[in-house]
Amino acid sequence: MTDTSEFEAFMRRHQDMVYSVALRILAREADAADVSQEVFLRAHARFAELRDNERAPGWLKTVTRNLCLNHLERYRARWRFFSELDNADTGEPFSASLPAPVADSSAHDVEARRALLERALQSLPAHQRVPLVLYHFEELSYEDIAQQLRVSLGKVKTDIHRGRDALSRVLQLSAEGELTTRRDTLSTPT
Amino acid sequence: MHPEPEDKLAAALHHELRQLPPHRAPTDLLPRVLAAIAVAERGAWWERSWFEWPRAIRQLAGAATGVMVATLAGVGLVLLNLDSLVGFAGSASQALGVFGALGNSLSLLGRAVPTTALIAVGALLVASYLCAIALGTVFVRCTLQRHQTL
Repeated sequence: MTDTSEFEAFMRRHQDMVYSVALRILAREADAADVSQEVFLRAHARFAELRDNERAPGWLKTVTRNLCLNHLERYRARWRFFSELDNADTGEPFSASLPAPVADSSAHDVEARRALLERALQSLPAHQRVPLVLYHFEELSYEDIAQQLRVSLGKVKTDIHRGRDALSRVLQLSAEGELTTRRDTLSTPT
Repeated sequence: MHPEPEDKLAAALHHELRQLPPHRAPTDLLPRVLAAIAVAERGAWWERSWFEWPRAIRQLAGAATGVMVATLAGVGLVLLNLDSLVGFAGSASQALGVFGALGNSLSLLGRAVPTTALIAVGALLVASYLCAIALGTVFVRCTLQRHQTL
C-alpha cells in the first residue's frame, strides 16, 4: 500500500508542471484538470518505480503529453477543418483574431507582457498551438511532432511558422504600445 | 553572417516562451486524485458487500431474488400437487385442442414417473442454476482481478 503522505508530497512537487503542460496543449482548464488527474492516477499505480526516480518528471511529462494528444484526437476533424481555413485563398490566417494588448502604462510590465503572451498562446487555434507547444516547451523536433500528430512535416513547419508569426505580432504590438507610451511621455509639456 | 529573420524570430520567441512561469494547478486537483485513488482501492461495486451496492442495483437484485423464490415456491407447490397438474394438463389439452397430444403426454408422465423423481429433477435444476451463477461470479472476479493487476 502506497504511503499516502509520500504520494501527496510527490504530487505537490509535480502538479504545477503537469497541469501547465496539459493547459498549454489543451487550452481548456477543465480538460487540463481531467488529464492531470488521470496522469497522477497512473503515477500512483507505478509509484513504487517513480518514488525516488529522477526520471519521474520526464515520465510525467510524456504521459501528460500523450494523454493530451489522445484527448485532442477526437477533435481531429475540427482541427483539419480550421487548418484548411487558414489555407483559403483569402490569405488571412484564422489566428488573426488574437487579443490586442491594452495600450496603457503597464504594457511594459514584465508580468503583463507574460500574461499577454500566455493569453495569446491559448487563443491560437489548436493546429498551430499544439505543434508550437510541443516544439518550444516539450522541445520535440519537427519530425517527432509530425509523427506524434500524424501530419506531414511540411504542415508542422507551416503551422508552427504561422503560430510564431501570430505571437510575434502580439509581442510587437505590446512593444509598440510601450513605445507609444514613451513618445507620449516625452511629448508632454513640462 | 547574420542569421535569417526567421531564425531570430524563432529564437526570440523561444526565449520569451521559456520565461513563462508554470500555471498553478487547481487547488482541488490533489483532493480529486486522492478521492479517485480511494475509490479505485476499494474495488468495483460488485466486489464489495451487497449493502454497498448502488441502490438501483440492490433493488433490482432484490426483485430478481423475490421472483426466483416465488417461482421456486410455485414449482414446489405444483410438484406436491401432481394430481391437479395431471388434471389441469388434461383439461388444457381438451381446451386448446392443438396441444392435446402434449397435454396427454404430461398427464401420462405425471402418472408414470414417481413424485420423488420429479422433485429430485427439480432440485437438480435449481442446484445447477445456482452453481452456474456462482461459477460465473468467481470467473468474473478472477478475470477482473487479473486485469487490474496487469
